[in-house]
Amino acid sequence: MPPGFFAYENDLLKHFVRTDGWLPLCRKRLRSIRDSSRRRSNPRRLKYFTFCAVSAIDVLMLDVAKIIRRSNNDKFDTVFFFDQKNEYIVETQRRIPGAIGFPGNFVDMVLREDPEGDAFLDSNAPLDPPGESKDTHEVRTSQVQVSLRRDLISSFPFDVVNLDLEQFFLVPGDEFPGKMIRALRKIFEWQRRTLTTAQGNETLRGFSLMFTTQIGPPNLTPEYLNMLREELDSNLVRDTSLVSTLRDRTGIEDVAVLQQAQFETFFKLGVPKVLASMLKEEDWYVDSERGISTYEFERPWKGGSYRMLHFVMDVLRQDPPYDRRARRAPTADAETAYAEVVRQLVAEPETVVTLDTIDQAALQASLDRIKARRRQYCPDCPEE
Amino acid sequence: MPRIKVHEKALAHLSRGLYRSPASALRELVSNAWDANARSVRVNTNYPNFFQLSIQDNGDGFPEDDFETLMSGGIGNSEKREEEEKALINNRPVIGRLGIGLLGIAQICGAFTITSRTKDGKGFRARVNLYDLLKERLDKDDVTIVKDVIVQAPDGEDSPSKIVDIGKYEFVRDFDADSVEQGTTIMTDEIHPTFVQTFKESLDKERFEKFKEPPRDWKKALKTFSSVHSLQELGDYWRLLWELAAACPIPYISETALPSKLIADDQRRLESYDFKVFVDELQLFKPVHLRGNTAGYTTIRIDPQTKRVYDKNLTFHGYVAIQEGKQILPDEQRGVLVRIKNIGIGYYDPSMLDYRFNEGPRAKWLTSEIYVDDGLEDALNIDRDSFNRFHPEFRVLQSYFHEVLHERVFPEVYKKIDERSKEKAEVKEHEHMEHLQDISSDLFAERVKVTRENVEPGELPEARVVRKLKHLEVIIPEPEDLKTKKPYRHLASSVLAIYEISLMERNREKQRKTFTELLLKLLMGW
Repeated sequence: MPPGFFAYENDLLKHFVRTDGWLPLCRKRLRSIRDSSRRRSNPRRLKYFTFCAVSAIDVLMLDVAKIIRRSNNDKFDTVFFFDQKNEYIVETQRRIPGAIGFPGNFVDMVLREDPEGDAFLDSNAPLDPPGESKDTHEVRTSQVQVSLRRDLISSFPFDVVNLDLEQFFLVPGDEFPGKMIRALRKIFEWQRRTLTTAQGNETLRGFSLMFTTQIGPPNLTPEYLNMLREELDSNLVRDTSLVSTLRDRTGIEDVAVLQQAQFETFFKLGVPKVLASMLKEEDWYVDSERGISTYEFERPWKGGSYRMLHFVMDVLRQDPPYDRRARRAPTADAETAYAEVVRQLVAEPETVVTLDTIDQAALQASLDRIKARRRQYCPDCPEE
Repeated sequence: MPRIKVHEKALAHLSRGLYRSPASALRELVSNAWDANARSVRVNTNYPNFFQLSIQDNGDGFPEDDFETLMSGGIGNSEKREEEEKALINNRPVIGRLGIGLLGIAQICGAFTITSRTKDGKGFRARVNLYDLLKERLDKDDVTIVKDVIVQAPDGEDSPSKIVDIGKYEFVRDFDADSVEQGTTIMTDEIHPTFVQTFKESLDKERFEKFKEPPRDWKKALKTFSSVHSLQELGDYWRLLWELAAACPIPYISETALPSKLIADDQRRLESYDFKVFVDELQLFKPVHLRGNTAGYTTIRIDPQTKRVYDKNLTFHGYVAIQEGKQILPDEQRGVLVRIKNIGIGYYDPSMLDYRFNEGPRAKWLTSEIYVDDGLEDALNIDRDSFNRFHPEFRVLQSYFHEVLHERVFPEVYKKIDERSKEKAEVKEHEHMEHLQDISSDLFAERVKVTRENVEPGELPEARVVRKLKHLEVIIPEPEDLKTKKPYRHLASSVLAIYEISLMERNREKQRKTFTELLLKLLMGW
């Protein structure tokens, strides 16, 4: 197996999420770009951020579906991706030529301190030979890392942000509220940056967000549990009709009891609300037309298994933007949408994906088409 | 008799800076891949961020033991030379290196990871860290890196010597060889900020106005190269592409990349080696591509030559191509590139190996390649980018090449220039006659025919107008017979004609008016 290939490239459960959740969302985003384009005949291309892994199945799926358009030079230069290791980036770029890769730990990179702050985005400046420091490994590494982070910030905003991180959202060892939450805040903040394309500058009115996490871990610290509990409690207080909705779904009315008795459901309800709240604080809100779709499936691992959660949502910018609102309070539209999204979350259970619930033949055919496309770009690349 | 020694620090210094550009360093690694029977080499710069550089081949790979040998004193050792006789695939000639090429990458990074896997599945991954501030430490004879050892000389005598550490390496113990493909990959772990900065700046369209997004099709790249006077206008990224393409043993874009099938045989040979080089998924071909010049090309094939130099063979062949009347673009393509075993040594030499005749602008029309199949390696300087210009083998090659230029190429070029000048003059002359005919026809409202007549010696040249049955005939004095400066003869002859025509008017006033009008019209279209 070549480096970086996840063993589940052929996982049909995951592919169901791609085709049922991600694909329609991205298609809708492309339509919205076209509708809002000043030049209808030549709208700008969709900009995509992903953790696609070496197999790059999601990118190639969007390529096959003509949602991602390659450049005139036949490059995926509106695709930006992150991977842990340099060698995975090289392999990925063989499969999606021209895509722009960033290496290392995503969360650490996002949270890395820039001595000059996030406002300074000249990524060449940190590479200037320092006058006082010596030419050592530490100095050079720091220079390149700061430059790279500025490149990352400069690449924002994106039309689609696919945070398919496949790791825990809440990590017990992290200082509360956790690195992931702090990183997500940064990302939602960077999403407010002005988008510069060949067609000109624009402010994004919305973007599509895909977020993946494992359920758990079971040993969440009291601070994290409180955070999830408070999210749910505050919703029930604001909208008392949710109490009966929760009871209908879980047989339980009390959030603390839900946490104890049905941790997974508690987690599945709590995490998307944390996301929705964060978005609202960062001047965005989840579009209530679709709400947050949740997909869940089980994946075998080292003799046991773990459960994956995929959240899929459309996000809209609050209007007017925060700097034109008194005390930067959320807009009425955002509050109304938030309440509706919460109601939908509680009322509508997640889609549990199993081999029995999916059309395996159709999904396999779809995967085969995607792999055939990949072979076009990289005839020498080994298949899993 | 005491032995003459070279201090090991000299070699250690080499690891700090041997090549003049990243392309030169990469060329050495490409050469290693060639010798390892690789069919493809992929260079990844991580465009447009350039935070890492990697070079990956699908060659034979090599085991951990060989790497250890190389790292523990094998660099610079001649062992590899002794292995040169091993047969490579597809009749490739062995390039052969001293292992120094591996450290070429050290010029752009402080650390790198090397991964290799052989055909039988053996493999290793090692991280190599080169010491910071090596020069300072060497200059101070830092005892932690400069160590005394005893080595045995060829005569069996023990001799004190020194070993210099230039860095450390460690094997990645949890590395699974099955997780990688066969071949060798070198990947920078910590690329130097200056490299990153230089390459990032080269994408800045304010600095490099001619910069274009690099394509994935070499034909498009060739158009971009030939659209600039110098590669510097395109920036360092494009320069890297061009330099690497020029240096590598890869085919031309097609066998008609040069006129007169000059490289058809070489193309077949290069294609038969089945060796491809990619940079950021762009497949490279040689950058020379001469097509569509209106004045044509002068081409000279250098048929295979074998010269004996100090009891050694020097064998070479090649070509010289002249793009008539038009400068070769970019400038970097001008001159001659010498290849040893298909690898470019340095870049195109615009001095044409120190050619001693001044050919003026014509020298800028020339591009040439010489493939040295045997010999000349001893004339190479250690950077493999240049030659010792006093080496006898170099001198023999130089002398032959200059003879070709002086006795075959440029005489042919001058002959063609004369022909072109003559043709051009004839065309111009014809145009002038037609012009005179046109303005005269306008005046008389009837067909006018212009003919020429020689001027008898001692006679005053004059034009005449003769009425014929169906037209007027304007007979002008043969321009070459007019005693004035050559560039003005045609004009003078035509002026005499319009003077004569204007005299056909009845009175002076009309004559003056007609002459003035015709003169102005004549000059307007001259």
